Amino acid sequence: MKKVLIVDDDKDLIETVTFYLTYGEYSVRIAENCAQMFKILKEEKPDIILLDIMLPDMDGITACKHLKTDPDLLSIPVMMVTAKGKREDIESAIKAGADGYIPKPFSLSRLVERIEEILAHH
Amino acid sequence: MKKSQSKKEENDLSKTDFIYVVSHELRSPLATVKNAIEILSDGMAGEITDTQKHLLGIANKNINRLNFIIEDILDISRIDSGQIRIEFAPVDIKEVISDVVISLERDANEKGIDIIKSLPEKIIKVNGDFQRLIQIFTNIVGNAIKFTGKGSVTITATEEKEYIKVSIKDTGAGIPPENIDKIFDKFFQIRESTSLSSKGVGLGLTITKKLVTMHNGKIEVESELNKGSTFNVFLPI
Repeated sequence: MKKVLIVDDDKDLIETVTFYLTYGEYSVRIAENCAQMFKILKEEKPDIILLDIMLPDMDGITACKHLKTDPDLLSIPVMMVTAKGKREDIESAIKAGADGYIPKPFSLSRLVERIEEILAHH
Repeated sequence: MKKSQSKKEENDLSKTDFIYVVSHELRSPLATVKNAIEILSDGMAGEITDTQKHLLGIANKNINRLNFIIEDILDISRIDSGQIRIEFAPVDIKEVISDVVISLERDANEKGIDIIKSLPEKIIKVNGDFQRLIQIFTNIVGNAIKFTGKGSVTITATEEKEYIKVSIKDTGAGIPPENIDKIFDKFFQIRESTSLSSKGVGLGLTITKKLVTMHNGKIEVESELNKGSTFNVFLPI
């Protein structure tokens, strides 16, 4: 079972995404901010990180740069959740080393497709 | 002069922020509602009855309708604040029409309307933005299907001097003469329209006209009540 770490502060979004992913072939861990994410990553390594661009304690781009410069963590694929229609979000995500992105809002089936695409290339 | 200039820039910037906030704050909760509906409809949270499924279908349809309205409002705001730019490149208009027809075929089939393409064999290049041209013709052909009870929608493309003229002719309700000048106005809708499934707020043709103008083209309409309408779009080669 593949492990997904969701980093987002929208509790309702987390609940629907978690429900959908755990119904399928995934196990899910949740971090509501970047501090929690780094704490979880010390305990276990997920197969993929789903990282929102807007978080309360640090923006997702900066967090992604940290992940991609840490030798222990850089091999974990990161999918950035960007805002739809903001081209600069996508550019910064790629520059920060993200392995993929999905514009928000997304449908649950599209999200799983993107996760599978990224995992297949990894 | 300088002062008013910077004031204007400030206004444009706050408008940009406003659009961004609206887009994010409206779209995200709607997406979450849609996701919850998807989980329930798929029976993932337990078996559901046909009535429950039907009601969830209604909820989902109306979420989609709200999403269309938000997209239209965002588009018009982006155009008005100069955030949408046309990326000019040679585009084969036949490819645009073909993509538009594929995406609307289901709607037409459901109503028993034929979409007829009458296009020349050779490639017809215009200077434009592929995605925006798709948007323009999706709006016009979509409207034609929406306002046609029975019959057909015919799309033709011809070369006229320095323009390509694309005509979309329907056999629908037509536009009352007193309304023909208003159809490109913001928020204008023909109220007595028989179609209640309308998915917008009357911005579709306003957006379409603005996008055509941004292509240095023009759009004209001819219509006869109860016989049908023809929209002619002229795009520079």
